[in-house]
Amino acid sequence: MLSDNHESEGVEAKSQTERTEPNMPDESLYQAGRGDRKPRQQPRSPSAICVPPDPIVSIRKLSLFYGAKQALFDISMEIPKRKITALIGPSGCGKSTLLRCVNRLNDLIDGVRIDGQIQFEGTSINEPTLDINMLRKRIGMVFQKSNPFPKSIRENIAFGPRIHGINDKATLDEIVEKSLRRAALWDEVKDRLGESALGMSGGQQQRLCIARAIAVEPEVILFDEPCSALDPVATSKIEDLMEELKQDYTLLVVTHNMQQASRVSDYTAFFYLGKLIEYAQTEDLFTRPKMKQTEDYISGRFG
Amino acid sequence: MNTGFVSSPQGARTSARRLRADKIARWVVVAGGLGIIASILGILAFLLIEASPLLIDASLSPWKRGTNTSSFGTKPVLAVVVDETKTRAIHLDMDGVARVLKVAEEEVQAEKRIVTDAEGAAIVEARVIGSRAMAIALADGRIVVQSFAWNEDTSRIPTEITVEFAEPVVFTSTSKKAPAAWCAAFDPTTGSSLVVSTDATGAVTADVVKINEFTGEADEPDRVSFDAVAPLTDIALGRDLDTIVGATKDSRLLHWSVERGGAPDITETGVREIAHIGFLLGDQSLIVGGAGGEVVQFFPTRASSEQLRLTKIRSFESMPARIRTFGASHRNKAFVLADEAGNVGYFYGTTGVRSFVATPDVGEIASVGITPKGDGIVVGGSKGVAMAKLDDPHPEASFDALFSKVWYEGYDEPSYEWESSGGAASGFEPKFSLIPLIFGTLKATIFSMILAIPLAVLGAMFVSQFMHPRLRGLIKPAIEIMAAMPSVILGFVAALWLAPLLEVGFAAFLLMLVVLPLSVIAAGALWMKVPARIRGRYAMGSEIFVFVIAIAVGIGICILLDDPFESLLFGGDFPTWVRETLGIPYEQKNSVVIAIAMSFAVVPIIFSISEDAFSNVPRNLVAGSLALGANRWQTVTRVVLPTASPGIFSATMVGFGRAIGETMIVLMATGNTAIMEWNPFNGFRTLSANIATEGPETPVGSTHYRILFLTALLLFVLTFLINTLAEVVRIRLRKRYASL
Ligand SMILES: Nc1ncnc2c1ncn2[C@@H]1O[C@H](COP(=O)(O)OP(=O)(O)OP(=O)(O)O)[C@@H](O)[C@H]1O
Ligand SMILES: [Mg+2]
Repeated sequence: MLSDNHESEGVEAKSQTERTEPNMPDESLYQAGRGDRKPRQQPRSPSAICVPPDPIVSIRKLSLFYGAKQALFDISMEIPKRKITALIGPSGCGKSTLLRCVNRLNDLIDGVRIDGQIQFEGTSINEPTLDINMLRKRIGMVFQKSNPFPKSIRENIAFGPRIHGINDKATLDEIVEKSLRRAALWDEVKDRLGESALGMSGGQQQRLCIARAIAVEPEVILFDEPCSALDPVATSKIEDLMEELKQDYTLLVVTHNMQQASRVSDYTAFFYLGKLIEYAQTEDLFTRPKMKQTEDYISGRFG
Repeated sequence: MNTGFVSSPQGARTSARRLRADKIARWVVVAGGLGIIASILGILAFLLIEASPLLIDASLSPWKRGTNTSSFGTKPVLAVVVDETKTRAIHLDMDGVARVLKVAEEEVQAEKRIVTDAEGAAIVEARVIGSRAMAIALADGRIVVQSFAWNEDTSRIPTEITVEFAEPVVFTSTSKKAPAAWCAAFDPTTGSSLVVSTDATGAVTADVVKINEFTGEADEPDRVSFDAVAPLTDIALGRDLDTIVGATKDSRLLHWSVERGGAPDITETGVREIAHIGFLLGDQSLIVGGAGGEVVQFFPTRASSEQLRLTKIRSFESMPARIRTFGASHRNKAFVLADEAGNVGYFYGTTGVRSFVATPDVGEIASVGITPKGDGIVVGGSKGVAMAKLDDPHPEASFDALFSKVWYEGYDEPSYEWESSGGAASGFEPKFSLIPLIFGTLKATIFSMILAIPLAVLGAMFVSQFMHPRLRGLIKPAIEIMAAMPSVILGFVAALWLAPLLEVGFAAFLLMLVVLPLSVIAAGALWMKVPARIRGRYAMGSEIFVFVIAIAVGIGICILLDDPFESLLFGGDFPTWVRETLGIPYEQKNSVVIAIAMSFAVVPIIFSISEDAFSNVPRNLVAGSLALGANRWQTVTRVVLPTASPGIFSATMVGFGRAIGETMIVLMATGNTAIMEWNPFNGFRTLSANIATEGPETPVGSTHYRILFLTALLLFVLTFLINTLAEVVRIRLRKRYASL
């Protein structure tokens, strides 16, 4: 086994070379996109972007365009396995867009164009030959607004396994119970599994969506502001749940809540205007931000 | 600029104005809504009012007896008949004197002694024949037929009605004895008469007397004799002067024809003892009155391909006592019967209804009849004459006649028939079963829906879920515009272009049903075989062009293969094959044509509403399903379709409602025959097309007119129910998914 240190160094070296190389086209794009406006950003310091060990998802030089409009600019970052990585940044900076790139949910949107690469366990996910359904099975997602299907609680959980060919009732029941237990929902709903999921509270619905995502045994779960519509109690339940899920899954979490990011995540990436500004271990980022924008943002001095 | 907001009085005014506007708007909205509800209720009420007289039972006014002993008759009367206006009556007394009465004035207008040499020959019995003749049987075996004409003297004001008696025609019998049973018939158009009598043994003689066209005098009678079968109790004659039916003492009916001669057809009646028989209008139905008051109807049905046989059709509610005499309506299948206890019963043949039994109190009844216009009953008895006003405007319409099988004359079994154009004089009765029309409506709807629902729903599914959004933006409005196409154009095209085309190209049409789906599936499979590298270059949803090409090719193949396929499977000509091999009729304007044409009217509606239902499925549900690794098809079938299903149901219901009410297409592109067969190769008659064709022709206020209103009501209720159901489902759907 390679030591963490060795591997990370290797990757870092590689990404550094990559990063210096495309800097020019990136700048020119930036210029072209913004017309005559002067770039107000400080020049990027390579050290602001860390390279965590043991990555499961690697994003390389990713740019994304909604039609003519560019939403992501040359993002490169590594998502560490079995860790919680938080994406923060002001509204509209492209966090959700990046998240949707990872499970290719952007395919649904008309006119999306992607440059660069995302690798999942070493294979590129943007190959046309890729089995996109298998990819999505392995990379689950929980949305900002809970979206249970208008079916019973049990059917909501069983939906994923069924899709992937499990039809045995006993197995399904087992999966349902296991997933609900992992999502800390079992005790609340075990007596009404047959009832419609739409009758649950918002927090319960969101945990149901988490259970639903767990039911297909993914390796990565993407969370897009999962707690934005929840009260503090429900939020803390879900945060506990994330902490718990970290044992088995890699979590990529978009959040607007600084405390949440600092509480739960191991790594935090700060985005601004479609660019990855800073990426570091959470503690470092919140206590010793390298970039001015990061500092402004986390201290709430952002305007 | 700032004045309006600072000063408080002005602020109050603004708010008052706004309140007023708010109030007015509310009233306008409320008034509009109420107006719509009121107009719908108004239509409903109007239809109900127009149709409701159908339910009114026959009723009879109190009997009117004469007060003047000399005229209106308190003396025994043997026969009585009235004219169309009910202002004149002719009654015959025991002495053989016929008196013309002015009914209202109760005075005698004219009188005539019919039997001039009555010495020693008392009158045994008299009968009214139609409204233009009477016949008298005398004890010496003679039978006298006295016809008369009702003349209208228009030179007087008010016009005076007078009676002109013709020269009586006298038949003599060789036996010189009163006949055991007898009957006479008279044909007012030729003046000919038929007299049939029988002696105690049952031997029958029939005399036909024709009036010489040139001299105007009666020819010598043509006599036809029939051998005795059994002693007869009563005889009935058809107005054709040919049909003779005799009732035997042992309760059989013997059925002779003057022209054919020979032995009679014999029918067992099952009635214990026959007291009286008589024909209803049209001479098909024979009413048999029993000694126990039984009333039974018979008419000929086809016993074999050649032979007609009298068949017991229905029994009516019995009369209280032995049947004595009978009178048939001149307009419809109504009849009256008098029993020996002095009761008069009013019946309607087709519906099998005994409306009422009344007691006119004229002693022993000798003669009973329905007035020519069917608006009164007149009886003559031992205590004189009585009349009553009869009100039975819609005897043909009873609930059973409208909705259950009825055994009509000329049919071999009870059936549902719609044939509204019966004429009063022809004796051919209108048939008002609504079932064939309801059946036709359902057949049209179901055949159309079989084609339209899959097409519209699957199309909506494809367009909303799989098609490229930019194309969807074009296709949806295009299909919706189709809904605005006047259906008369669809009907016109269907009748004049599609129907003949389909007749020659049905094989191609059948092929298309199989080939087109297959070619689309094959195209899809081929498209998946295209290397992902190339396929990936095209946006999702652009595979539609592959399908369009596949469908075009499929249609081409079907047209090319039409002839070989037709000769291979259907012996060269599809319609002939249907007729000969399947043994069912093929009409050019058939249900398949309707299904196709109606699809053009219905598909846009179903498509549009179900496309909305599909599109309204929240995108985040779709995303949720895809994020779990479901492919597009799994997402559509397992998440989108169930979520959209109430909307789709509501869409099909609205389409159903449209198809049920659709008129022009079915009117123009079917034969509009009211048959009840599921055969897709013939037509039908729908409620709506029926109203459209018959509505303008029917006399206002007639039974037919009211039944058309009833069908309109039915249609109204049907579409109302279906649309309400659709709306209820839609509202429930909205509530159920409000939290999504
Ligand atoms: N479907 C789309 N079509 C075009 N532009 C889009 C689309 N989705 C997002 N964008 C644009 O891309 C940019 C990034 O959006 P994104 O939703 O990723 O932001 P975000 O960081 O998630 O913001 P928030 O915190 O408000 O959720 C925005 O400027 C947005 O306007
Ligand atoms: Mg977002």
